[in-house]
Amino acid sequence: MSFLFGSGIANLQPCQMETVEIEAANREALLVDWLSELLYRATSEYRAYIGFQINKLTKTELNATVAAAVAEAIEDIKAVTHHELSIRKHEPGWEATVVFDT
Amino acid sequence: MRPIGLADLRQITPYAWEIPRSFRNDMRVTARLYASRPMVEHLVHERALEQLVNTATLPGVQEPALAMPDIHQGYGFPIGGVVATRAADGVISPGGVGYDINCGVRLLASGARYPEVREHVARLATQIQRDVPTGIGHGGRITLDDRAMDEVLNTGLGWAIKAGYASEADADSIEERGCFVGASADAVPERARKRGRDQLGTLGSGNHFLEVQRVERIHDRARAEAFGLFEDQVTVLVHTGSRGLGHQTCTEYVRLMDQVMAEYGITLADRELACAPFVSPEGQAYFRAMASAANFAWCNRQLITHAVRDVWQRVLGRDEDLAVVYDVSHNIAKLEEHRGVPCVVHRKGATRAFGPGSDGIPERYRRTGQPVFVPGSMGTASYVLAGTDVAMSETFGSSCHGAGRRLSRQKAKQTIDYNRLRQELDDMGIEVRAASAKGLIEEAPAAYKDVEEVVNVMAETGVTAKVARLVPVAIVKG
Repeated sequence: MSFLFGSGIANLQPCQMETVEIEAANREALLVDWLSELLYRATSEYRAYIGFQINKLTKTELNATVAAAVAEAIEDIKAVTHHELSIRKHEPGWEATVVFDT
Repeated sequence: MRPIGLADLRQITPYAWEIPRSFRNDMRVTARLYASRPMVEHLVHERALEQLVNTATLPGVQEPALAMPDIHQGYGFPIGGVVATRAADGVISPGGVGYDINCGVRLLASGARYPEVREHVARLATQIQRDVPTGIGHGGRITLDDRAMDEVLNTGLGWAIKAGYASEADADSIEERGCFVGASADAVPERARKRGRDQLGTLGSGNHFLEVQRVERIHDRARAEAFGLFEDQVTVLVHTGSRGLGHQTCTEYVRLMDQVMAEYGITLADRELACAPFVSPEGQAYFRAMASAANFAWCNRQLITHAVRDVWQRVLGRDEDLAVVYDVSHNIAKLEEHRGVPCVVHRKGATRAFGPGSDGIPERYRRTGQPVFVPGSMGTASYVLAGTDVAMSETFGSSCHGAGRRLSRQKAKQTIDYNRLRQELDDMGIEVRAASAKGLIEEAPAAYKDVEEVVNVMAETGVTAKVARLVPVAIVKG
């Protein structure tokens, strides 16, 4: 999340752990909903998310434990869009393209 | 999908071009673009025209799907797009309004001539930046509790008047008198309320700004007089929207529409066009939520107006309230009747431009047509225009909304030098107060089309008439 909070994010200490649970119709929607969830929490609670543990991940479900720190964003992101959204298998892992409305 | 070439566009007048229904099987209506030939030659290489064609496929879309000369690529809908759908059996699309619901522009007019305030402009800019929260981070000076939030969302300016931030005269100078019929706080997602609770009276970042200007030229004396404008007058332009409340409302309704479209048998070329029938429960819920977010945006611009009026009086010692000339929305869907058909007119980066005699505009503008404000890019001129009969017959009463982006923000950051830009603005004698270098670079004039060319296309087609040209003397940016 350094694009949202700058390089100082590396020095932040977590203040609490939070659980995130997402269900969506497909993999693409799951990615948009996951990022939208983090964006909502970050902007409404003034938090940065600095640690992620994925507990469960399928094509339509995600359960994660995330470490939150108190921080204000340096970048204003309005929303996570479906514009030109793509997720591709790209050895050795995956590659995703997501466009934010800023 | 095959790319759109110049040969696919048919020139119907010197400044109007059409892509016929035959271009793609799924088009329900013609796509029409208002632009000069050089603009079209540039646009054929852009994604925006494909997005315009996509909007021509929406269920219930009325002839034609439109793009204004400030068209550029958006998400789903192009920015600068106007799409009217039949209310009876057509759709409403959150993407056709955008994430910043009721982003718009308000023009405030002073009684002062520029020479009278010239020596105070730097202090004015500094104090406005102090008193109007800009940029990112914590919100404004008030935090709305649940009851106040309900009232803002349900009554818009009604709340602002009651709370002492606005007058009846202000309400008379705002589209819908600042209170959208059909607004219902119940339809606004809880998360949107939470995201916006401390953001009323804040400018935000991105392309939002506040500008102190000088009326440099009057093009139409009679209309200018009706709008309360005169040469060398000092004006203030406010450009912002519904902040996080609108962004979250759009996010949640795009998701909802995406989930229910299949139930209504709707298939689309782009998921960001997600929509539902206007008369469906989902369509109606979005309309009520959007109307409420629009009320929030009008209150946002009103609180900023209140702060600017206070600064004006304190810094200049002038006992006058800056008058609201008008407040126009450029991201909204309105229920209007055109050619005898009730329509949902989506304006995404486009301004309502109702002509003389139209219902829904203030009495004092009935003879002139409504004021339309077209901000240029930072450091360049802005225009005051007036809606015309041509707009009513050809563009669903709509016009352009700005210069229109030429470079993406990313590209602007890669190509524009901050120090040079700052020097150029200094050389132009413009006081700049910006929260960040990045924000300034992204909005540099080089990142935008030429506003003169955009406004000229609208004037040549007769959609809007030029009334006045305004130039900046101070800019406050998020």
